[in-house]
Amino acid sequence: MNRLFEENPFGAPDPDFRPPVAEQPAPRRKPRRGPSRSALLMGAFVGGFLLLGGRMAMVAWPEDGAAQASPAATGSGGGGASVLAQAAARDELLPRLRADLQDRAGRILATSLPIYDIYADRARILDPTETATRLAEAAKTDPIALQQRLTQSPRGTITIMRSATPAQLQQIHDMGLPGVYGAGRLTRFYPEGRLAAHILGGVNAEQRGVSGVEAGLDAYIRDPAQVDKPIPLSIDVRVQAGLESALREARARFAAYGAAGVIMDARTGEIIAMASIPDFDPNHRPSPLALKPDEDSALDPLFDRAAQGSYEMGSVFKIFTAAAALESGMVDLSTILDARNPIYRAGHRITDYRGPNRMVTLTEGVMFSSNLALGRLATLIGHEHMSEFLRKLGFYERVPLQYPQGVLAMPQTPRNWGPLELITVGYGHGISVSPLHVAAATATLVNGGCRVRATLVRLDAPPPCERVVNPEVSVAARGLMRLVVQYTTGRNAEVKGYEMGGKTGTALKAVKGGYSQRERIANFLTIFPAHEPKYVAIVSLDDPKVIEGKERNLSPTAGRTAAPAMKDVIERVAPLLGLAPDVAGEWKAEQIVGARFGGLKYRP
Amino acid sequence: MTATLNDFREAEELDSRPGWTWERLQERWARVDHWSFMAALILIGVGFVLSMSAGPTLAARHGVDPFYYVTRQMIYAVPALAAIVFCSVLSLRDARRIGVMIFLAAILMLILLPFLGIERGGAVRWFSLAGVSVQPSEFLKPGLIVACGWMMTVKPEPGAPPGMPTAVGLLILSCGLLASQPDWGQTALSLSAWSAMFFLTGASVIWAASGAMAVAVVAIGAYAGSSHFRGRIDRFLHSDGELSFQMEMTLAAIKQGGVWGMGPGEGVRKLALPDAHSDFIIAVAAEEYGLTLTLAIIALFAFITLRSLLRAAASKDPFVRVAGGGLACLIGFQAAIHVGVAVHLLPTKGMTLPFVSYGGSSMLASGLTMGLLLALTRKPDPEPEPIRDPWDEGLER
Repeated sequence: MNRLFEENPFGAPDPDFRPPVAEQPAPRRKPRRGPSRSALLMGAFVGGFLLLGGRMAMVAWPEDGAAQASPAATGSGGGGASVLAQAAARDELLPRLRADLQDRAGRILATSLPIYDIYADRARILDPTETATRLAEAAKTDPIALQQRLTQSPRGTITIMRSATPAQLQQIHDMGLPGVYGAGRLTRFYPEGRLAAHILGGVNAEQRGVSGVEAGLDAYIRDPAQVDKPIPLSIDVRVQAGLESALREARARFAAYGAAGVIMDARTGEIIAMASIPDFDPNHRPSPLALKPDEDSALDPLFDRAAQGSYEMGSVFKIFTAAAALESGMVDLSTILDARNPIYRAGHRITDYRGPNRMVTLTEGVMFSSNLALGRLATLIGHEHMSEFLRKLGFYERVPLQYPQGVLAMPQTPRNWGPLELITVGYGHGISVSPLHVAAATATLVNGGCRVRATLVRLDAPPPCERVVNPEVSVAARGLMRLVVQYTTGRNAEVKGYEMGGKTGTALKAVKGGYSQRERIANFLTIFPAHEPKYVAIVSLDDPKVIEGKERNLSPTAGRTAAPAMKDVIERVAPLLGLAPDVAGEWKAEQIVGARFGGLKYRP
Repeated sequence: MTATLNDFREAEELDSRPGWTWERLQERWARVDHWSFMAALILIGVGFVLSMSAGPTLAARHGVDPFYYVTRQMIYAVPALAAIVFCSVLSLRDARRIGVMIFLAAILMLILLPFLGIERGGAVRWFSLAGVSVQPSEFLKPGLIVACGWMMTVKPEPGAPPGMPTAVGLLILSCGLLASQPDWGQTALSLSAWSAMFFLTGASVIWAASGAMAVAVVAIGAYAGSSHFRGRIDRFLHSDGELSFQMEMTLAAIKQGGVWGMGPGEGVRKLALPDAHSDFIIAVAAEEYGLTLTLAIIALFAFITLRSLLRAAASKDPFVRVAGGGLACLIGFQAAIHVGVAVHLLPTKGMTLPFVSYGGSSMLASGLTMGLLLALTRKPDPEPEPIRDPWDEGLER
């Protein structure tokens, strides 16, 4: 008899030991632990495998497992093993955070794209040297430093590369390096680059808007219910590009610090294009410039001169002074004004620049841009009429643009309307507004008098007319502006066939403690076509200089700088706005200005 | 010197040792559990099929021939099959001897690993033997089970070593070596299988409870001591909707596969899963062949485990009951952990699926485990020969 089998090693010798049989886990004769424990173990295995199978079925079965399924396990259906399908499989894991932004024709201006942070799990890397060498090539970093990080870092996971594109991720996946992963997230992408940079603004790392429309409309853009619906902006990519290129060239041509421009629908207030040069690429948003306290914040490329900057606009304002006077009913276009002798007020001497130096009609005063005539006109109608009219045009409040609160220019208007203030405001000094203010106010003035509120969101229908200006005055203002382009200071802006009206404005640049002797802001305001304006545009150049051509070294007036810049702009964008040049049927402003046009000695 | 008749007789006796005659082997093979053997063969076949899904992706990453890994999988299957058949017809004593030899060799290699091994990432797990990477921890597991099964069932008699303390010592040694790599997955697996054996010996509940306490202490120690391990556990415990990339891909693959799968070669998640060919092979199976194949795989492992446990429990030999049960649990636990990780019931832990996952060490070790298990779960020998322990020799002669 074999000793080994004659006793149970765990208990007393048991001559009756009988091997247990499966169907009888518990031996009949004498209870034993061994077999019953086998049965327990088997029971545990049965339970465990059933749990695993059940869980597997729950995950795989969409109907039963929907509630338990992970958010990652979405959808079912086919798709080849292509890179695209793979990218799609990954992308559907990333929740959309921000709605796209489009231009008025549905072209994408801002969208969200998946990017990947490449990281390495050190415990899973098989060969740090190979991994470092190959990854460094893809991530364009130093392989030695990367290898040191892979082998010596105290951390379990190491970030190798931030913001890799799906193609780069694929390239890294294709290397087949174990322990290297990509974590996806959505980032904001501006496919047009610098185009409309200030309007679009930008977002921070948490995908929240920090400037421009991205911040101003943040609540709508991030609204989970609307996030799949693109938001159409009022701007037109083509017009915006035309404006920006023309401004960029003007800035170079006149060696200006900066340039700004707005093109606005005269009826609806939709901004078709708005630009400020220098600008930036919102895909690589620069940090704000570290400016010294006495430096001009307008040097910062992030600064939007058109909407944020506030400047004395100069003679451009004369059109508002004239309109305010006409609106008051105290004068008409033939009212005679004194443009002869300088005005002395409060220790200041006010003169004209190449003025007519005679008695002029109101029409001539505007056409020749006479400070004296318009200053005296303002004095004539008084500050109640002036300030009331400016208030109606929106010069006393921020433009209600879809920008974040507080960054938009707040107009600086005279607190006390003394005699001097009244005169200076009459020719556009002592009041600081943004170019956007002027554009919106001009739109209100010339569209028949309906109050225009600037907007960056495309409107499906024009807003109801809230009339603030007499339509007669509106027509007169159109005529005055047309005459300026046709005969006087605005001639350099004339583009044949588009029947432009306009007004120049050269302002001494306000600097700390007064006015700069040399630096100017040159503005040109235009409407076209003048007989029934569809669009208003303004171009503003900061400290332009006439450095070429036969007028070289002459005073850089708006007529020599901003007007030709505006001509460039209109030549580029007018065809894009659907306006055909109409050379035959010129609308004669004289017909509007009519009999009151008499006394005009000036002829081109 | 001329050979005497006696010498010839001795030689003849040696040659015709009961364990090694062809007839003896055939007779043993007839008693092998053919059903479990077939189940293992099917699983190896499934491994082939899946290697055709996961292999080309891996091959493309490494810039080798698309069927390089498929071919390699087939080549690895040959020694694995040989190991199954060879071990399954060993006498119980030879099976035990082989198991102990494997154990000692694996322990030796594990001790030498820090000096001779290849460091990959944060862990030293591989040896390079004649150009082939060998992972000794894979071989340690069946060896540990057989050696401890033997020790746990040593009869207390003069000259015999102290059984249970030795088994505990071997466990601590093995787990210590595995944890020092660190390889927490293999540590947990070895510990689980050992505990199952301990449970099968019929040890008192108090001992089992204190053992469980010890395990808990070790686990808490590991949690506190290893940032990597802690991260995994934390990620598992606090993963409300926030899954690791691997888990996202794995669950998405299972979801995508549905009941019938997307079809062979149609899977896309395997492209993104870095370990699709080894630690997440079940995800590839789920995506391309659906619930049908994954449930079949689970069923096959359940079949092998339960049937082997049943047969081992039926044995009269305590060593067979304990070590056989241990090996069955080893296979069952490993499969369960692999699947459990994939369905996010367990923390992410790299664990191959026996027979199915790609990898030479895993395949050969699975073959050895299965072979030894088949040897232990053979039908009872009609003419049982005693297993002699080394310390018996002196007593018998």
